[in-house]
Amino acid sequence: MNSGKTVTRFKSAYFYLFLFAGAAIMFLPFYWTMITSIMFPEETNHFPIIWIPTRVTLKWLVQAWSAKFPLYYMNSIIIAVVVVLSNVYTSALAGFIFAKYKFPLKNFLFILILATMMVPGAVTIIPAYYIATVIMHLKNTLWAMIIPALISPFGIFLMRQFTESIPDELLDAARIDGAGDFRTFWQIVLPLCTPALSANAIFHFIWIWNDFLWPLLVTDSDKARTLPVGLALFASPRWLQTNLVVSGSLLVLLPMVIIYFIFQRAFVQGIVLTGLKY
Amino acid sequence: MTATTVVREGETGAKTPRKRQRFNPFVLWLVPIIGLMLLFSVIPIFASFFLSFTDYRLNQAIKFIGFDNFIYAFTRDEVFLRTIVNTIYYAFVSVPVGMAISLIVAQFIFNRKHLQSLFRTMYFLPYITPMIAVVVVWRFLLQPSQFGILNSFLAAFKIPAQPLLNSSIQVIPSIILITTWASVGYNMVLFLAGLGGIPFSFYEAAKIDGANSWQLFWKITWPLLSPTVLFTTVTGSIGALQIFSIPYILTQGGPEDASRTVVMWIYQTGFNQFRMGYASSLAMVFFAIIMTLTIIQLRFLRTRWSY
Repeated sequence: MNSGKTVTRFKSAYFYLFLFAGAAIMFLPFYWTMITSIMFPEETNHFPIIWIPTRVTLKWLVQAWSAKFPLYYMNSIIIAVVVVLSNVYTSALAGFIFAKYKFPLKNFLFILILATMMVPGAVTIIPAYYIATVIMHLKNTLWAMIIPALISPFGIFLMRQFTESIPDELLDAARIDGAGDFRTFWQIVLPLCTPALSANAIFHFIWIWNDFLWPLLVTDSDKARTLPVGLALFASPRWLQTNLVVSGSLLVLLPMVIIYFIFQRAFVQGIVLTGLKY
Repeated sequence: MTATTVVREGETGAKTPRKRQRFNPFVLWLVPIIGLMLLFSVIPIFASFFLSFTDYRLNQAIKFIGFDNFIYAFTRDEVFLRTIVNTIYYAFVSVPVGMAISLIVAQFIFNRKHLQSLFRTMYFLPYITPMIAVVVVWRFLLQPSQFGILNSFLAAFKIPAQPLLNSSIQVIPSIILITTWASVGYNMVLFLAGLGGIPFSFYEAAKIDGANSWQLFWKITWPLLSPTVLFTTVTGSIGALQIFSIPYILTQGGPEDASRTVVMWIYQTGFNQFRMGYASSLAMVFFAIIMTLTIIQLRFLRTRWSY
């Protein structure tokens, strides 16, 4: 017990070594992506590996960018903005109604929401594809990716958990002061659950921005493709051109990484919140 | 109209007047929301169930064939059985390994305020980055040749270049490496939140009683973290069993089906071979497997630590 202090200090040196090594491993793929997308192939295909390029070029990034990436960006941004705004709003509204109103079939509908959360996407994908393409004729449109994602059972569930903790007295006070249901929702409920709203927005943004299988299914021309699908198709015939493919990857990674570093606190807290309210 | 109801209910002094209220038209805003959910989540579940008993192919007449699809899946479809084994193997290794690493890292950086946010930022980064872009990069890092980064590290320890993605034995461990890298930060952040919820006085009391750090972990931290452990195991397993895009980009299921997963096979039978009835029955079997494993986990993990 007496030697505890030195042991701890000794241990903590190892701790820090371990942690920094871990952090380096976490970051290494990103670093490699950055240098490879500006390196010349001679240096990329060199053994032992060159970690600091001696000559750099932007030609890979330019070449990748000119291969329809602006279009993929536009599609991804439009889809993400519409889907996130819609989800934040509809989840809060439905969550509020489920938390504070009484209506027929309420429990049944809520259990239905919980049940759909548990069903894997692979189960619903074939009929959903049929509904979206054959019945609604949405193939190769942005609507095919937007409409099914406008609402989310998970978002509704999350917001119900939050709005439930708003005291009834507060809502009654608003009511007595003459506020209608909508005004109560906008002016009392929404401001009170801003942490949950931003958590919900971040969760759905990450999810829709990275979604792959559904956009892959409902698009077969560039006009409606999103970044992940566009990148996959950009990479598949070019696997031998390491620098070019990695540049494409960097173009997809970069905006998300920048957004993450700007809002990292909100990102981490948002994910904790969505995780723990499950 | 509404004003009078409000006043009357206010006067009765009910504890939760809002909940006692008769039907309020505001609730009707749920109709479009629930409607969309029915259209794209609920109806497809039943449709998929129905299709699983048919030989439906896109744009062809539907014939009801009873349990034939299921019998075929379990007796003749060797690829499907292989994908079940692959997927379960992947999930059952990747989830505990990922959790153990994240818990260790979380333990290390917890209570080190000045470094916590730095490490958290770094470890969390892979979780938010688009998976496809990351997998494209990993495909190069895991190249079987000496130019692959992993192989060049191994070379530094005089280990010969490994086939990695080209080997049916090493391909799933390679995928586990990628997903562990991608998810360790997420689990760590949840564990950090869990650790923050354990009262510090518990540790102080135990220390006074002479407990060492090993005992502190197993007698206090581990049992009190059990809700977080339960959550990360259950949601992590559900997510891991549905793995699709990583092997799809990395190996297309190869070599020789060694990295083909269940969702990939459902996708391929349904959308490449257009056997949608058959793909639906595979999806139903898959759903049953996930539900069974989830129920087992909930039972097992809940009864073990109920504090």
